[in-house]
Amino acid sequence: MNIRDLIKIGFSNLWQTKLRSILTILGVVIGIGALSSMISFGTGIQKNITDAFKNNDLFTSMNVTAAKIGMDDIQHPDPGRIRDAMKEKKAPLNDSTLELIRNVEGVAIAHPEIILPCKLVMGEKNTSTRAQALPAAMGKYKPYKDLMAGTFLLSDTGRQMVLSWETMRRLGYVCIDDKQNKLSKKDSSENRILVNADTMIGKKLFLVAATIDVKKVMKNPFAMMNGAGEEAFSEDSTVFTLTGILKRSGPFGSGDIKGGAVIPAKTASEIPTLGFSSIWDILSPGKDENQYSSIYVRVGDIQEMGRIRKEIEDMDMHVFSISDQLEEIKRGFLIMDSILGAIGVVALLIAALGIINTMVMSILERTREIGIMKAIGGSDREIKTIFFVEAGSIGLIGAIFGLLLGWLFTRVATLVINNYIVPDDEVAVDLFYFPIWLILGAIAFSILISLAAGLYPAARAARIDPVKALRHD
Amino acid sequence: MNIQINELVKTFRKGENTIPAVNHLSSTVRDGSFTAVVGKSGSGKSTLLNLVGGLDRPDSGEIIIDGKNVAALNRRELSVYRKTTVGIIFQSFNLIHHRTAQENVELSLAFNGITGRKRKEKSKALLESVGLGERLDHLPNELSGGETQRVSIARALANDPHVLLADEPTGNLDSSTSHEIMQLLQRLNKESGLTIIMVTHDRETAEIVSDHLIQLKDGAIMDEKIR
Repeated sequence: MNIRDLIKIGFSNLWQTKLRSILTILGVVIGIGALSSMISFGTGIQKNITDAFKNNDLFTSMNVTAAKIGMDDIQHPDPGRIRDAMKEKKAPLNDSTLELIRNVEGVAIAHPEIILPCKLVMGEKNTSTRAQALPAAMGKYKPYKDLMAGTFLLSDTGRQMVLSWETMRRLGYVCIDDKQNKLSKKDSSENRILVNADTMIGKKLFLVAATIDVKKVMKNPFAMMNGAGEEAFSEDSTVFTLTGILKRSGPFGSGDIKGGAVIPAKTASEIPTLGFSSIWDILSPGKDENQYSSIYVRVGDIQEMGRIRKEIEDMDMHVFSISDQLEEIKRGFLIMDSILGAIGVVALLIAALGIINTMVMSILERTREIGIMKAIGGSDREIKTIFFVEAGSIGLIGAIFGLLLGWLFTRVATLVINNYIVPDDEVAVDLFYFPIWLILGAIAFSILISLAAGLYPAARAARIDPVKALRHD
Repeated sequence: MNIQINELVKTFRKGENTIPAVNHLSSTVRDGSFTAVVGKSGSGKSTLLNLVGGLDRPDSGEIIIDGKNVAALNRRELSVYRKTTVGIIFQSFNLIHHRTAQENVELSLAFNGITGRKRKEKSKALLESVGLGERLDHLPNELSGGETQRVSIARALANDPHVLLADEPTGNLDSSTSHEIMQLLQRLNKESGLTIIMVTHDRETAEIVSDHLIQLKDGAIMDEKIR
């Protein structure tokens, strides 16, 4: 008997016991629905985060520092450990080391990282943010190469400024984009106005830099807390022209992590003395003049990261990269996916018991039929295959409707999350992702589990003695 | 091709007792003969038929058909033997109740690897040959007893077997329908030269239709007549 006939018989047998077949399939539907929606949640979170990293080219970026300061120090600063790290201080970061780094093969761009806390004033509105000093050449890279309006910095001098969508919003202007074309309730209540981003280009705004003399602060840090020590602060205002607006970042985007405003590198140096220029400064105060606290490096090819990193480390410098965390992040995702998947697998295993039950019942009911098939020439293998086809069909149909159920569930969950949990002025999130491997994998897994569940019943059917079966009522 | 049965033994266990169903039975069934096996209930008629039909295995002895010993075939070879060499009809018809008359015949052809139009045409022709051309799409429960047995005969003939084994084919039928079925079997034997081994408790009918009569008692041949 050819496979087409076996499939036909298998389906016809399922159809004979419609209600029982449907109930068994329903068990698989729920199992696959749970499994696929759980895993799609894990992959969705992973995709959102990796996309956000990719959109900001974080996988090809690294920070070079003189002392060994890592992610933990940024998240949970421990003065003792940082002091120890400072003692191990290696080569100084200055123009000559910057040049050395730039000359490393594969380095696309390297520049000192300068970030200054500031206040931006546009019309009557103002907001506190951080301005990042970047070379115009950064316009070739994400997220600066594709702006929603205007252009990136045209040169390393001049009073040009590029603002993030989020900074514009804080300044009272909601720029229309594909994610938002009307004011949210919050925007309306805060008197923001909806604007076309292009109309904002060319507007003037003030950058008010609050300079801090770190040395004065460090002399008596407790005086700051008591409101004394005001002599450490001073303010200076500079007029800039808005040349470009960055696109709104995604739900997991870095947004304003480094700064809501970008100004040319050389212009930044003209702005009155800055107390500290980056997060690295806060962690390693007391660096010498004419030294950078950190250098930002972007490599051309992600595959070159390891080699370039090693070359820079060989220069006696420390390298921090988000891609260092990648393996750890991946491990985290794997654990999360495994836990979520395990819950789904349990549901599917329960469904598998349902399949075994259905098949065994079916054999009992069809003992005589199996005997007839054997009497007219059906082989053990053909009888076994018929039952395998039945089990596999339950798995296949269950998987298709299970994926549909899982997908519907995630759509409803997304709708609920966006309508009731995410504030209406935030970018809508989609925490679920159904990649093709998940769809095909779920189908394959469901069929596999169903076939495994059919193993025992099929073997039992094949072993049936035709003489006894023909006497069976 | 003759069927040579040599020293065939089949016993069944019932508790601690061993009951001989077929007891050192030897006989030769000639090619093209109509052999009737008669005997009382429990004499071993059906067991003998099951052994010749490859549905059961003997404890010892041989059944030689076409040079092959059926008793020595493995499970896979037995299934090939059942679908190509023998066709079996039963007292209780044993049709698959949720399949139409044609589908029941087709199933037998399908197990022999016959597909598509050829299968459809052959199953239709077989049913027409047993007078059921108008009943192709009927389910077994929509057919009379005689019609159901004819479907069963059509199915048994589907793969052009060398031997047709009939286990009390008229046991569930009234006398006039029984007569029709017997006529049909006789026609198949005479016109097509099909070897038939029929088990029946009706000695009178057996003597009329058969040319080889085997009477069994306690699994052994009590009397054997060849005409």
